Amino acid sequence: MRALSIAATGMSAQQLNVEVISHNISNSSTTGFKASRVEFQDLLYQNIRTVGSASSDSGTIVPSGLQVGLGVMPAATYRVNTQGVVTSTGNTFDLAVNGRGYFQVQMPDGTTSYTRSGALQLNSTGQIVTADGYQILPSITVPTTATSVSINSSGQVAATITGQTAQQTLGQLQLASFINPVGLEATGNNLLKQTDASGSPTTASPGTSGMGTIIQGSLERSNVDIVTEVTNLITAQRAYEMNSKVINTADQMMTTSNQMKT
Amino acid sequence: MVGTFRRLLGVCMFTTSLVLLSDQIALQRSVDVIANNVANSNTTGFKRQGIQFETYVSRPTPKQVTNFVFDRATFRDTTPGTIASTGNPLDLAIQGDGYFQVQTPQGVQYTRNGAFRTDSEGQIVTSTGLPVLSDGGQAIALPEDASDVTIAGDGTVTAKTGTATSRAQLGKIGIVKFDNNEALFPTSSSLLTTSQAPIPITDNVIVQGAVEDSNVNPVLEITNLILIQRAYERAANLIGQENSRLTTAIDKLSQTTA
Repeated sequence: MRALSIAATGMSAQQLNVEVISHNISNSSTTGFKASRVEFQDLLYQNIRTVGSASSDSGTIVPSGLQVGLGVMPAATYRVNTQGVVTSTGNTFDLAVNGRGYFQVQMPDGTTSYTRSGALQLNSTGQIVTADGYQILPSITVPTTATSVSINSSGQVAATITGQTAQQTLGQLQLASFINPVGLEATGNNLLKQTDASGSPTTASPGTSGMGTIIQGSLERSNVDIVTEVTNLITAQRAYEMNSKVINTADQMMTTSNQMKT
Repeated sequence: MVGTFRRLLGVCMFTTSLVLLSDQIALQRSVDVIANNVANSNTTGFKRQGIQFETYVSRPTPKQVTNFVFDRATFRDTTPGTIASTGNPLDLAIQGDGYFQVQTPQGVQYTRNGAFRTDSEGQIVTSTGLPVLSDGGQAIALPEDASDVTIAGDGTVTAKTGTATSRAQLGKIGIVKFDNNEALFPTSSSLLTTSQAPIPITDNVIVQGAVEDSNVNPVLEITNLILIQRAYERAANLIGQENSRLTTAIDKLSQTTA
């Protein structure tokens, strides 16, 4: 009986589903987080009676064969890259990207990571860094004499310096975009890494070449929709229960066979 | 007298048990099919399988007819699944008849699973990375700066590129149908194969931002499961009863002849 192992693939698939849903729910208030979804596909089919085999001597053939599918497999998990809600925080270095594009983050090992989380801060030398202290590229340093910093929608960073009447331009933020952003690998800490699937990044100023714009004093919230997640959770639980019901039945049928009088 | 008994025993001694055994084998296979349906109750675009039984008539002698159970075939139940909204622009569902064409290493195959995405070259691909074909049999690529991708009901893909204000047409996803939906056979990964020639359709059948859920009906599957289990138990009981009947018969008959 294949039913046992077939139902087991169903149970482990639903288990993965619940794991992904719980990750989404637990990140429902993570800045810049994108919900993931599991995509399932049916496994191979076993041909017990091949399609088109003869059903009589006069050459008639069976219109459909006897095919038994061997269960389900998770094909992929992927991020749903819809825009999260932008909420105002009033913090100078809280930046939300409205549209396409990622901030570029200089990692300690020299590589570049990408993030949608714009909860930025200044470090001891006045550089704009992430919450983990990693520099944002291109590097922008805010002088200690700056009294207020403004970042406009196209990413230009300007500051009012004590003793100067005109604002001084400090630099230009750049966003990176990918042809297949779903292909970026999540590495934790709100960071994403480039992969073969994502393609190489193109950088441009916010608001140009299809990039999103920057909203200062705001953050992009997680795009997790709790109602959807909880509904999916219920579906996953019921599917899990049904698969276990199949295992139970297959087990009872085998018990029946074992208890047959001889 | 003894000869008649012998002849009767020789012809049909195990027939009852064998008929019941054929029933049990068929029932076991049905459980396998149901298990696969239930395991795929959350698989996008999945169509449940049914199993067809028929009688296999055996005539060892002209007067004696025995009907065995024979699980002739499985068939795909092509009832449409519910269309669930996902909001993802490359999630496509087909309303009514129709299949997407996918380029696989084994040639063009067909699918109802429209959970698509782009690969590193911008091509529209399935979740296993196989290119989805246009009406002309080509892969469709989205340029890197494409935004606001819209897929019309007939499969026409348009998008804004760069800072352009007007929309550019990037291709048209090909939708095909077949004369006989039953003669499409699942291979794996939601793909189907057939020897039939595809017939292109140009109707507005595509729904963007939604996928077609599995058409497995949990209540139906679990009810069938219970029915099968009881039938299996009944067959097992009958085999047991038949066995004791034979034992008694052999006992009694051997006493008479002794």
